[in-house]
Amino acid sequence: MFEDRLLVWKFKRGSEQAFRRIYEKYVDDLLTLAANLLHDTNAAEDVVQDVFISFVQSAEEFHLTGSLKGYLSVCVANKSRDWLRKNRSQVNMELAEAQAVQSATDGPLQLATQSELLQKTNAAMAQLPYEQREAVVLYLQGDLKFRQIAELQNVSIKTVQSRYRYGLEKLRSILNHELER
Amino acid sequence: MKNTQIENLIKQLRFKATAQTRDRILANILRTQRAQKLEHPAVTKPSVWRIIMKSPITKLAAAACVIIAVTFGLNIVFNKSVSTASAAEQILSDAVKAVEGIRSVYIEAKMRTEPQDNFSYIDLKLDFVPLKMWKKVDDAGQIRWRIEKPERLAVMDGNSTILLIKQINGVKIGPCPNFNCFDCWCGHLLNVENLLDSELQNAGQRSNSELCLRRENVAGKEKLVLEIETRAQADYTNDYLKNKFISTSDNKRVYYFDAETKLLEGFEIYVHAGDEDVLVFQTTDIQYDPEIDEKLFKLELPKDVVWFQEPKILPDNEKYARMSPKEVAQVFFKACADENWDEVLKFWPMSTVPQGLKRYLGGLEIISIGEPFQSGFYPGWFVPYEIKLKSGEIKKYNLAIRKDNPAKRWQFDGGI
Repeated sequence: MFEDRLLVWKFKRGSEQAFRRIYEKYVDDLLTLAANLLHDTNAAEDVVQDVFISFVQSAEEFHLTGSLKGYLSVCVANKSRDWLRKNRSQVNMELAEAQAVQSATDGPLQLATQSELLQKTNAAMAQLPYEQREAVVLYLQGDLKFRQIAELQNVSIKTVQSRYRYGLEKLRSILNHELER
Repeated sequence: MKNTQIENLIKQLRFKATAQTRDRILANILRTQRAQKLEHPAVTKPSVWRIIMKSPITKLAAAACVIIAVTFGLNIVFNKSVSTASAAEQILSDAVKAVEGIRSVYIEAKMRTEPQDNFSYIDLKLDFVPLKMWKKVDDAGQIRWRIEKPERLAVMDGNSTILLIKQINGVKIGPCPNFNCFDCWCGHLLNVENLLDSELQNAGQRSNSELCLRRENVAGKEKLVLEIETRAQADYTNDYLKNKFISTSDNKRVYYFDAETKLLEGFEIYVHAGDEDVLVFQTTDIQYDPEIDEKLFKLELPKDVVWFQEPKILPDNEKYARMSPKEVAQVFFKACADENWDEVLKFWPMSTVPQGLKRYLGGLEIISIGEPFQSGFYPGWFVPYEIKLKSGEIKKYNLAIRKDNPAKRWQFDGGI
């Protein structure tokens, strides 16, 4: 965490090296978040690039109050929502084809571990309603607290906790069904 | 399938970008950043002198630094675009990086302390005692270290730490690394990267009056010198423990870095005692990546060692647990006077009472026992006492006792 504060301090003073280090440190985490939220690897790449560009553009005004990863994760969640709003018609098609999209091996992103169970989990995630998926992904992969997710979704903490719980229940139901087949 | 299993699966659901993808995204971002710089050049940052001269306190601190610099013929190296705290952060950050790849370190130092006392203890009135320290990290990342002074030696072999107190042949064995020594000052210093990193973490919070930075030329070599003022921790309403440890003193830590390599080359601690600053610790040699003989991390124990041990619960444990600190001192010294070593052992944290101690304390005469008191962070009590030893010597000091052990019974912890 302190390393992040130092990197941000240097970055704000124009250090490209510090920015590169921040990028290298978090790009995979952010791509993972975006890919799991959007289930579109090309869109995930665009979103993460936009997040870093906004970060660079707002460097002078930027003040790190919590964790840098948390801050960037919230940015990814916001940009992902923007992207979904702009591409809603396309999204329905994408989600329907989520499994095929994710199992493609020649895309810009790949699942770090190519196990069958993980691929099934990935496909199951695509079937969750977006708000539930967002709660699950941000909590488990973005290291955000329910409070932070509630602020982002503009709902109460209890609602986020319910979305998280329902999300897990649904995933369990899908995966159990898949495993029984 | 349980929810916890599903949570674990999701955590493993990680995507990895190909190298080309990562490079492409980065290139796009940097292109945007450079374009932005051309469009909006950076706002000129205020000069550090303007920042310093705005506040009377920082002005005073700056003046003090200038006086030091002039007195010793030094050049101040404030970078004109950053504050002292920021410059200190930069130097410490560079220094942390410089030692990141270091696999072994050897440090020689001197410290005002007792040759047999613990590695953290200092006494401003005592002469210097030499210290030697080694640390090595092997290919698998396993750390081993050794710290020694004339009458005390600690070795961590990668699995456990063994402490030998030569005077009484006392041996203590414990887990690594947090064992009575590595978290003491010497151990802290030996762990150079963490030492600098902890200073780095605090540097940003410090005011300019707590930091002084200068450039010094020593024998034709440029050095960066960073001085950090540190206040004693804890409440010292009773100041008995004040200045008995580095952490319980108001002190100035002086770090010397090679201006080119940024490696830490020297370290000194001055304790502020009244009007004078007393040098209590000084490194005399720091070597990075020296060849270290493996034998140093194996400790051959002498014959007839006496083991330190946690007190066991006695049949009459409650009787001893209920005693007041003053009663403990009375019972303990009475047992020494009567040479009743079984009774002494109930307060002594070892497998047996060492022969040397029996000779020293056996047959003593109690002159007085004073009122117990507490000081600083110490979890036990100090009991003032005056005794006459069999040799005729009169000893007046404070017995340190504590009962934060599994048996909740008072145990001797120092002061003889």
